[in-house]
Amino acid sequence: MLPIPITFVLAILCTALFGYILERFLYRKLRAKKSTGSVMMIASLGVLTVVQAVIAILYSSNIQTLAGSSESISYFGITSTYVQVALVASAIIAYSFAYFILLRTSFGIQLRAISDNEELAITSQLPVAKIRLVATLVGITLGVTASILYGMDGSIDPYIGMNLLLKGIIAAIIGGVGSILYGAVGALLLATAETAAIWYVGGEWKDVVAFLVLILILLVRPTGILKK
Amino acid sequence: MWENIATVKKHIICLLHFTSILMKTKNILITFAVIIVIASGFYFFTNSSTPTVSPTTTKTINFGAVLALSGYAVTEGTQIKNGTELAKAELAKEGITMNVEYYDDTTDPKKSVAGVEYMHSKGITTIFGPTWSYQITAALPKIAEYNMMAFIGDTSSDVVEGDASQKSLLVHGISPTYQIEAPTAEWIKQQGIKKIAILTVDGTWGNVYTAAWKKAAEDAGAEVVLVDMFDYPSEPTTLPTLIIKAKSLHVDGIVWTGTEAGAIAMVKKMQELKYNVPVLGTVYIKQASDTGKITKGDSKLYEIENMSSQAFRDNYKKIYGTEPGAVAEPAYDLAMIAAHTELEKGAMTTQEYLLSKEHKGYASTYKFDKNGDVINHGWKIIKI
Repeated sequence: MLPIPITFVLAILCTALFGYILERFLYRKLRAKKSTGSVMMIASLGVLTVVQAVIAILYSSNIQTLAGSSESISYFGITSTYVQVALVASAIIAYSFAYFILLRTSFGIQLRAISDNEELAITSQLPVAKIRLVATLVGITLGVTASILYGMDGSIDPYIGMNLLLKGIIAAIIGGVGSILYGAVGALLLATAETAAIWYVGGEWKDVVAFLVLILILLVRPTGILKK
Repeated sequence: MWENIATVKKHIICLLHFTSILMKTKNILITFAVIIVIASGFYFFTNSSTPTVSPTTTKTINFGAVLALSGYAVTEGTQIKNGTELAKAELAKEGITMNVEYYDDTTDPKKSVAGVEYMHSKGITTIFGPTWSYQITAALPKIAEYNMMAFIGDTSSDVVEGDASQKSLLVHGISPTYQIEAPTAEWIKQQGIKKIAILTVDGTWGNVYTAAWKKAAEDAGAEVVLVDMFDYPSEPTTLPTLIIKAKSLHVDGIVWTGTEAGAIAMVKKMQELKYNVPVLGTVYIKQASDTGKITKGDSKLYEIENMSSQAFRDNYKKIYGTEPGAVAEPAYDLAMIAAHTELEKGAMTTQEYLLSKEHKGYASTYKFDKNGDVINHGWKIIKI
């Protein structure tokens, strides 16, 4: 068994390679054919399904755990494990890093320009393909980090991705699509609502509350709580 | 059949050639080629087992198995399959060939129904599985429609919903749930538990266990301060909050039934909070401990399980390199009983034969009642 730091680096490299292949040979071709956002989303769901199935075939569908200690620390009345502290810390660092990159660097400005109007960006001779690829690889690095820490905190199986993806989408809608900070706030609100549902109502109501909050937000403030 | 496939392929190739001459479009060819590959792959992979069922001879038996070989119930499904394969090998020593056609229902009740349909199309009248109780409930009408028998190693009749006449077609490998009341009440008294929490998956399984444990708590004079249910996909994220809530209510004993992911989340959370009250669970805590997914540490972990034998566990571990879990031995025993019943029942129905005597298992005998439950085993609580 390899040490966690080496496994972490290898996981990022392997996932980055896979992400490059997807970007280069699937998403870029779909964009070249002027595919709509729905088509891109369905394609990525298809990839998710295939990857889940391949992982289950190669490694079985059994629950797996990653090496992670249950050693905990207490502070201000809160008890957390070191892994959980690392999870929160890495989320704060990741959001800060992404916020800085997007708002304070030329790369971030170019990326936002592409997101806003890709045709104009191409006309302006921005290196669109290269920027998209770099953004994909950065996203993969963040995703792998979160996944490894999540696995160390609990357990994983080939099928957990869909549920987490759904919760991520709900969080982004609640906070407001288009800003990573809004998404973070949306995630905190969603988690609070779910935990409150478990505590005050019952465990079976957790997912019901999540979707009720989503519907409420879509009815009252469809752009999201924070987005103007 | 192979000639038909070759003929169909030839026609498709001719069609492709004709189309390419007419249309001269590369994309049409690629589309057809992809369809052929996918359809052929689907056909060959889902029919990789022996396609026809030969008539039962004195020494050859054909059974089916609709099991969760992937998805949430993969752990039990795999244990049942492995137990069945061990029985197959043992029967071979007796000169009996037991053919088993496997169908992976991916823990999806709709696919469990499809699996029963598939077995019926193959002429199979006895199956092992489905795996989890709600899958059995979903497949039961089809089992009844085709008058099949289902031998299920990891359930008892009280966790399956359905008409009594339909349920009589099921044979179960574990003791009825109500029999957990007495050993659980004894455990509660021994542990000195005054305030108990009952945490279970939702559905019939959870309802039955909740009712039995409430009775056990009442018999032991303990107060039930927390009863909560959760659906199994969100169990790993729901249980930690429930553990915190139990601690805030000064619960000094927990009884739980759920999935392996839930067992891991629950034990980890309790260790994180240093909340070391006794926990009694079903099936997965010991498994998670045996496979190194949880470390016991200072936790007081117990499991309630049916009769099992060290000899079977040792044999299973020798062959598969891992602990058998709770359902491999009942699955083995039921496979042996099903095979011998098929060969020995004569003019009796399967149910009549099963009720007529006690049946030999690996290290015990099985006495069934009219509900298909084994009534001479009972439950025991072991410390993990």
